[in-house]
Amino acid sequence: MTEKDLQKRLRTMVSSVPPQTHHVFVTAARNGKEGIVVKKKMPAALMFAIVLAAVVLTAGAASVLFNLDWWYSHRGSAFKENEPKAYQAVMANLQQHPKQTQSGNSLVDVTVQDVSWAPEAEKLTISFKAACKDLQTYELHSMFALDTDGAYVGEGGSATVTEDGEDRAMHWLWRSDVGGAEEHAPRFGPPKDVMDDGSKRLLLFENVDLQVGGVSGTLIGMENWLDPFRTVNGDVIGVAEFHLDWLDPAYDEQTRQWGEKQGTQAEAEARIAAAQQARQRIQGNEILCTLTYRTVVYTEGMDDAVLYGDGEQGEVKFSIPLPQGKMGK
Amino acid sequence: MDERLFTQLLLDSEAMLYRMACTLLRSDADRRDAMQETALKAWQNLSKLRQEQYFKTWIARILMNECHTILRKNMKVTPVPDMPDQAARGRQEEDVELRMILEKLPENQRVPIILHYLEGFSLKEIAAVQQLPLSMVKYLMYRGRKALQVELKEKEGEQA
Repeated sequence: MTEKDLQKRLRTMVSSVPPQTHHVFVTAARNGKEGIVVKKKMPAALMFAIVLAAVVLTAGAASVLFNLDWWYSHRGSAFKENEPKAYQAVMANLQQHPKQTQSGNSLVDVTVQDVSWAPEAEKLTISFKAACKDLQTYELHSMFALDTDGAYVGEGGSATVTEDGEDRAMHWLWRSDVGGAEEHAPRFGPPKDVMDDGSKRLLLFENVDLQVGGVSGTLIGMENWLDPFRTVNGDVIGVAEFHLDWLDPAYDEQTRQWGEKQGTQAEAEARIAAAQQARQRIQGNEILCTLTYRTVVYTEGMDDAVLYGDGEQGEVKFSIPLPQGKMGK
Repeated sequence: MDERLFTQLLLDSEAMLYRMACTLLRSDADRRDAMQETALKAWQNLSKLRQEQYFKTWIARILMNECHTILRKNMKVTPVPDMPDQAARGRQEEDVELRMILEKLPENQRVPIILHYLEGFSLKEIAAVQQLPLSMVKYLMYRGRKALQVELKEKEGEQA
């Protein structure tokens, strides 16, 4: 399905505003002024302190570690502000450099920088770093930096590329590296034009799954988000958060109800079985996790099936030591 | 901002806000509440809106917050079955299949898809509405589109 098809179908899906809703909205829009509350302005001294802190932080960015602490103060500052309790729980449980071993990939070194198991906030948060082993041959970027605008459609797409095009036949790479004075404005285009050195080979990194107690997070249906970005040093950093609602046995019944509602009972039962297995396996003083990933060397005109599915696999096994009784809420 | 212009912008955004509310809330009554509260909160916070060009993202953000407040409240009460507006039901010819597939997506993937493809928000604007880093919005869009494509393909396969 092309972007245009999706747009077309979405347009037939939406409804017009029902009369009652229209009435209350228009009334509130026209008369809402009566409910205005005068807000106090921020004191000038406070504003100055905030600006000063921002300047100091920016100046020190060159030597900083791109770990969870950094992330919550920079790219994820909205989380810190909007979910202060969850943020505090993550930071209270933060463990740096967890015990780990990596295997299976000849092109990158992947390290889990820090991890936070915070069942009280239903969050498992990690940051990891992928570093290229052979900088003479390869230039490492995140898989998500390829075609991040979603306009790539491959064969049948437009050969005439524009920034606003929606059916590009060729791949584009996106860049907005972070860290220090060398940070540059976002740019994008054909990989060779956008890479630091177009004579090198483009190496793409993608994390695939997180196993908890040997059980795949994908099988559990563990919701997650990821913020992948590249530093000016050429490393790819990923900050990922995984939802731990499945730790609570009530998850099973909720998932069953969800399956019945959606007509996907078999999938729901598979998720429940995986969650139960994971819960059993994480009894004890530590949790064993495995981050799986793959790397793929990009070549122009390569088969998309290879680009999106093949490549060289790898994994990092790491453990999270737990204080007694810290497994669940 | 001039109050007359503000009222007009608010009225012009009605359809967009309703479509957004539909992606976040199931009940018509909840959508109505969210729309009303959004208009009232917009007036209350008018002084915070510095430039007209940011109106769209600003108002969308207010609506999202309202929807989340309603969702949080709903978690504490027994769910009431969806009672769609009968008049609206007669008018619309929905793509039910797509709606069902979209509902399966997590909110953080569903919302950017709706905002981008239906409402024409740029990825930067979506990042502002969702208060997420741009790269994460791109990632969520990528995941959402991929999931949609898989589901739609499966449905096509079932029908064939």
